[in-house]
Order: sequence, then C-alpha cells, then structure tokens
Amino acid sequence: MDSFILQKDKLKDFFTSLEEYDIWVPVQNGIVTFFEVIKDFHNFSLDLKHQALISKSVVFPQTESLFTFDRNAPPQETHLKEKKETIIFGIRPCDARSFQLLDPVFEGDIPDPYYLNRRKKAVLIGIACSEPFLNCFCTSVGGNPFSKEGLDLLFTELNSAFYIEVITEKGKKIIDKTSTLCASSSSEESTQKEQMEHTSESKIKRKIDLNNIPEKLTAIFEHPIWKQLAMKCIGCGICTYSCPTCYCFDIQDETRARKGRRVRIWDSCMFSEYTLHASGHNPRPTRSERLRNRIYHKFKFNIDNFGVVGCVGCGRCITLCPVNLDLIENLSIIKEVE
Amino acid sequence: MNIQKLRDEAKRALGRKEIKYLIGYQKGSYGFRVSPAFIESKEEVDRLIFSPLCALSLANYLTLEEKLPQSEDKKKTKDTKIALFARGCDSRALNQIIAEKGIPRDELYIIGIPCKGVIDLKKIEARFPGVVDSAEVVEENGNYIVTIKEQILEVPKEELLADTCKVCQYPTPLIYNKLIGDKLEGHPANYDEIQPLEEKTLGEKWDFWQKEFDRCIRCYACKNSCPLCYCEGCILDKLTPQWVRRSVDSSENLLFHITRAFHLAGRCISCGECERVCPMDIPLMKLNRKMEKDVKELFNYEAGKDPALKTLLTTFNLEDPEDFIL
Amino acid sequence: MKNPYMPEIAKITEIRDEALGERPIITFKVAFQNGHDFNHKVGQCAMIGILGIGESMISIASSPTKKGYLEFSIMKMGKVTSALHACEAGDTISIRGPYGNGFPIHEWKGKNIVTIGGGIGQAPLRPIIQYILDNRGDFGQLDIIYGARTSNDLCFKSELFELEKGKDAKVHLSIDVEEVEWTKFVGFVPDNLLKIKPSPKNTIAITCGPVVMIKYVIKNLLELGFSDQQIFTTLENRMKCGIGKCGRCNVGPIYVCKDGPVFSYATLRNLPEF
Repeated sequence: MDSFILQKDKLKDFFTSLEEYDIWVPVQNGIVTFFEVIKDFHNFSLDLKHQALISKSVVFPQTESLFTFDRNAPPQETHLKEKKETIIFGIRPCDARSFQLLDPVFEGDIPDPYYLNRRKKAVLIGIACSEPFLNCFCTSVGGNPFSKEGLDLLFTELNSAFYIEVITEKGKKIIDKTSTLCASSSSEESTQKEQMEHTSESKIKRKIDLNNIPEKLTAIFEHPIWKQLAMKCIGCGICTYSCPTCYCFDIQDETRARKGRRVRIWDSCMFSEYTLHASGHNPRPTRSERLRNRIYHKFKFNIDNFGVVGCVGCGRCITLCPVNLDLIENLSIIKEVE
Repeated sequence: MNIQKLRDEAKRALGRKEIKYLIGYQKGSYGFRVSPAFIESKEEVDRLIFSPLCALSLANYLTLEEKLPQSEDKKKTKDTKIALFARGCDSRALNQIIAEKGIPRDELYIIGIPCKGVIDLKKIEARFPGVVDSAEVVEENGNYIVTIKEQILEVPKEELLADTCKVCQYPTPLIYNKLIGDKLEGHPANYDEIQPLEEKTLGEKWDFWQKEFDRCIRCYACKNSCPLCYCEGCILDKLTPQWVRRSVDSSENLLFHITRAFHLAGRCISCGECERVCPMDIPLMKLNRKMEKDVKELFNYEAGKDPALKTLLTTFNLEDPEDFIL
Repeated sequence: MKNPYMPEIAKITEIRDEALGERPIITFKVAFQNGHDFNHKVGQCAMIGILGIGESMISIASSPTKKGYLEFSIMKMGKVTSALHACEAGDTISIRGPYGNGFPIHEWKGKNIVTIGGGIGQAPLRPIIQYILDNRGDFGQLDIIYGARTSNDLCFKSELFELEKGKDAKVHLSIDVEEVEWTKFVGFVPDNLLKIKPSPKNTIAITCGPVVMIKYVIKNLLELGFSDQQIFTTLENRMKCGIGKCGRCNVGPIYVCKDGPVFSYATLRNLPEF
C-alpha cells in the first residue's frame, strides 16, 4: 500500500487543487460540527468527537427532495442530474464501516438512485482515531480505530503532517492530482503511524463480547426484560439520528397551492407513529416493543439479511442518550438473562 | 440530606399496598452518568442514590405518552399510586400538571428532596474527560468533592453547576407527602442571563435564533423530556392535518420551537431538561426564561406554585381585555 | 437506473361503490396514460395515491389475465384513502409498482383452491379467483367462502351472485348478523368454514381479512387437517417506500412490502409477533 506525507500547513492547498470536486468537510457550528461543502477555512474542524450529523448525511441527507410536481404536469426528478464528483473529508473509521451495511440496503434488487448516485461520486477520506472516545467500542463489532474499511484514503495526524495511506484506485487518483503537495513517506513516519495504530486500540476502554448474541436474541423475544429496559426510554430520536447505520426514512408530500414536492426525510423507529396504521392499530404500541425492535434490527435482522452487524461501535447513542440507556449495558444484561 | 433516610422512606413507601412502584435515581452505566430507577420491591432500595449528579426530571415519566408499562400483577386499579423523588423544580412540574388535571394528586406519593443544584454533565465531562469508571460527587462547603477510582479532587461548585440551578428560586419542593432533608432558600428572581439577548434588535434576535435552530435535527428530545409536554395528540406530531412539516429546514425548525415555546408560556417551570438533553447544544432555556419573565411581568404569575392555582392562559377572567374566551 | 420512487400516472376509468356506511369501500378501474401495463403477478400490490397527499399500498384486485386495466378496492380509512374516495372518473392518480411476492399460483395448478375472505379482505383474493376462472382447466375445485358484517358490507356482490348460479365455483356467502331476506349462512366466517368442511386433500387454502378472523380461520383449517404449507395469508403494515428500504414494515427480518405480503402459515409461524 502506498503512503504519502502531506504537511499540515499544506492542507488548504490540497483542497484548492481539487477544485473540480465538491469537498465536504466538518465545519464547526457551536459545539458540534456538520459536514458542509467547503467555502473557506474559517470554521473547518478536525474535531472527530462532536461530529453531529455524521458523514452518512452527505450521501443520505436528512431531507432530500425526490421530485417536484405541478398538478397539471408529470413529476420532475430532482438532483439526479448533478455531475460533480465529491470528496468527503474527515470521516471517522467507524462511520466509514457503516457503508458496509448502508450500501446493500440501497442497492439490492431495486436500487435507490438517489443514494447510489451520491455514493458512487463520493471519494471517502478518513481520519484515523488515535484517541478513541469515552464510549467507543468499535473493536467489539469487528472494527478498530485505524480501520481502512469503506475508505479510499486514510489520513493519520502526526505532529506536523498527515500520513496518507492509499486504499483504492479512487484514492490514488486524488493523490495523483495533488502529487506536488504530497511526498513519499519515510520509514520513521511509517513507524510512528504504526505505533499510534498499535496504542490506539489499547485506549478503547469499553468492550463487550457479542458472540452468540443473535442466538440469544432468537430465544428471548417474549421475555419481560424488554419492558424493564424500556422503562427509562423517553421515545425521542437521538439514538437513531446519531447512528451511522440507521437508515429508516419517511416519505411525505409537501405542497404550496398547485405545486409541490415529495421528500424523503429521516425517520425514527422509536417514534410512536412509526408503525401506526391508518386504522389506529399500532403493532408496536409501547416503547418496549420499539426498543426491542431496534436492538433486534441491529444485532440480529441485519445479520440475517446482509451478514453484517448493524452497529459500528461509535458510541454516540450511549453518549447522547438523555436517560442513560446504554447499549453496552443493555447487551450485557441480555447476555445474562435466562 | 441523608441517603439512608431517603432509602428508608423509599422502603416505607414501597411497603404500602397501594404504591405500585417508585421512581428514583440510581448509578448510571459509566463515569458521571445517573439513570432513572424503577423500583418495585423493598429489597431493591439500596440502588437508590441522590447526589449532585442527579440531573434528570423524574416527573417526566408520569406524563410520557403511554404512561409507564406495568407488569401484569400490578395493573392499575382505582387505588394505584406511584411514588417518586421530586426536587424543587420537579415539584413545580407536578403542581402544574395537577392544576391542569393531567394527573390526579391522589395517584402520587411524592418524596420531596430539597436540592442544592445539579451538575451540568457536559461541564464535568469536559473537566474530567475520559472517565469510564463509575465516579461519585458530593457537595461540601460550596465545593464539589469528585471521587474517581482512588483519586479525590475538589472543584468549586460554580464551575460545574448547571446554569438553570444558578438562578433557581425554589430548591425546596412545594408539594410532597414526605420531605427528606432540610429546607433550602432559593435565589431571588434574576433574569440577568437573558439581558444580552433582550438588548438585541429584532433583526439581531431573529438572526440569533435562526442560526441556533439551523442546528436542530428534530430529534424531539426536548419535547419528550419536558415534563409539561404531554398532550396526547401533540400538534407538532399530528399528521392529519399536518401543522409542521417533517422536513428539516430553518422554517420548519423555527415553527416547531416557537410553537412549543408558546405552548409552554405560563407553564414552563425552568427545570432546564430541554437544554440538557439537546444533542446540538441549542440554548432553549433562553427562550423559555424570557417567556417566564414576560409572564411574571405581564400577569404577575408563576407556574407550578400551587396545585390549586388556576392555569394562566386557559382560564378566563372577567377582567381579561378580550371579551370572549378565545 | 430506473427511479423506483417516481410514480406513473393512471386515469380512473370507472368507479363502483362496493360498500357504503362508515367505512365505505369503492373499486377503481384504472388505465395507464401511456398505454403501459403492469404485467403483475396475482397477489401483488401497488402504491397508489395522489400527488400532494401521499401514497398507500393497495393490493391489485384484478388478475393479470385482464389486460389493459387494473382494479383496486379501497376502504376509506386515513388521509390518502379519503382523498382517493373523493376522486371521480376521469381523475388521475399516481401509481408505483407492482410490489410484493404475489401468490405462488403456478405451484397450485391441478389443486383444489379454497379462498376464505372477510370484508375488504376479499380484494386480494379476487385476482386468484379471476385467474382460475380464466384458466379454468388448470385447477380443480374452487370454493369461495366470504362473509362481512352485513349484506351492505359485502364486496363484489354482483360477481359473486353470478358465480353462485354457475358451475365454475362453489360460493358460500355469509353475514354476521341476521337480516330480513338473507337466506344464506348467518354467523362468522370461521364458523362457516367449519360447516362447509373443505377437504385438505390436494387443496390450498388462502385467507384474508381482519386479523381476528384470520387467527380463527387458520385454527379451524389446521383442525380440518390442513398442513402449514397448505395455508396462505397476507400481512399488512404501514408502508412508505414499498421497496424494502425505509424500514418500517418489517416483521422480524422480513419486509412485508418486499418479501410479502403473501406468506404461508409455515413461514409465519417462525416470525416473531409484535
């Protein structure tokens, strides 16, 4: 695998020389960062901790117009004609692994052109996690802080430079276009990076053994433990909206006089109207059914359908849950339950 | 406040036949977290804690949409009661909900706890980052004594105290069946913290709030964590007809939050839960505190003082300037 | 790449009232504007709706052997179906599909078929009946057991009364409560099933209707000697995308829109219930 060095003070030039791409970078907004198309370097932030709307929101935006319509004319598709390539810079390695699950969902027998169009045009540049966060548990779900899965390039922040590893052809193209700025890496730099990689894994403090969880789940669907675990839940959507592998969406029509559009918006299986039938019947009437469905979906059904566990261990749901519903704690309880 | 006295009272409460379960606090799953505890039997009371880390409104659980699920043998009967811990702000929420007939007084067994204020989790996690092991905090002489594993550190209270608690007027519960701990004096009414915003021009205020609400991802945590938001067909959730679009943009976000603020005017008791839970750090309390100040000045009214107090905006008085109830 | 979220436009050519009352049911006949045809399978559904209001997954109530048009029977329930009920012949609707797995009707050739329907549940069973009638020689005996609350709630009345007179099928209608002028069975559909006692030998039973009815029908079919693999039914759930992506219609690991709505009892038994 080829590796290069980019001096930190050349990062701006790196982006400027890639101006034929739309470059999405994390931009500071208050305490959180959002991915936005780069305009200037004013609020650019490499703070991985507070990445709010995660990198999936670039290929799968929270609100996306599907088509517009006018009562008297056939519907008009939106966005699919965009041609510009994109670069998403600053992705956490755990978030990059989420594409392992998101891609098969949106491909399959009936491919979703909105997602796939953006996905295929996107070059994914990750930043390695040399200092994992409090609730990270990526190593328990098959990942690690320096994982290259799903990425085209991986940047590791050294003292005064970035160590760049080329992972795919798409990534190589980027380096070719910026060849004047990138130098080959030295063996010292490679060693330094390897050391950081080695120590980062040991910095992960929270772990859980997920062997046999799918089998356990098959056995305890009707167990009263679900009612107990869900007592705390207040039914908001924080866990689902901050999750890199969640993809449920709603489709709604919005109109103004005779014109309108059909939009796709993120939805949450934790909201009570998620499965509410028009007749008033709700197959998941209480929070215990909804919590149960969420855990089954992530740790069993996704494995049944795609062979991939629906969790990348980013820990956001644990950190942000207002009532301390802790996924790791819940899974431990599930493992022990009779 | 003596924790043993609290646990004994909880045990006593759970010993009463009509009390089906008790809502309190227990240690969280890591670091400085605290979790709500749902206790059904006396044997479990040793799980209960009360410390400056207990920043959660338990009153919220009484009004969540489907009320708490109950196990079969403890199904709701005429004499069912729920016991819960209530701090000053929680007790005002309960007063307000009772005044609005949201829940009957005789369904509650309130264990009042005078509260010296709680810690802002974000502040303490920033001060002591990376703490996974269970940590504890007690208050002593205006400082917080933080114990992390074998380390004991002292931090001035002002550094970690939640902003809402800094201006708390009612630390002692105003309604309770039993009070555990000594009564405390509140701060005098003080709305200085919203003055900078009040002094902005209308255009500046609009820009400020537009920028803040641009971050909103409509997770509805603010609405779901608010003890006073409990309408069973919340107008902001309704689909037929749909008042607020689900699409997330400036216009809809502003509509959502302004509607919610108006629906809370005269009802909000400044527990600060909305701001605590917001994952995007939106300063919702500024809006609610401004409403609170206006309500005080215009109507000489404070929410949650008394369960018999008539509600502000849903009570018609002959002296009202409008000549009709609507 | 075809855009699966883009609907086609179809024109309503005919509207027929099936049942009146609080939850009226109407049948639309629609034809695609550009001469398109669905080429759907028996038992598949389509997302029909009105641009500006929304979409609803409705089973296609006509067999693919009927060319040039599709029929949908719709009960007035919520926002979209109410808007559809307000339509008139000549209006256009949006339509996406066909979705779902359909009935494995080719595997049923040479067998006897029993359909057991209740209320609006007869609509997904109708294409089975039409297909069999259009390919009569390929199938054995056809028994149609169908009931509703009152005679006003029975759908497809004129077709079923016609069939009753002929030899192509045996029709067993019922209503729940006695009515003047009703000389046929009075009682619930599962009880009518027990009275008729269809033989399980070389027979497939398909049932559709209110959940409570399906539960008892399956119980009675098992009592009559039908095996899990001989019993089929359809599930329904709230749907938005119709193509197995938005996540909401799942029952366990399967999506009702994509892997269903048709399931044999053998499969259903292994799915976690809500």
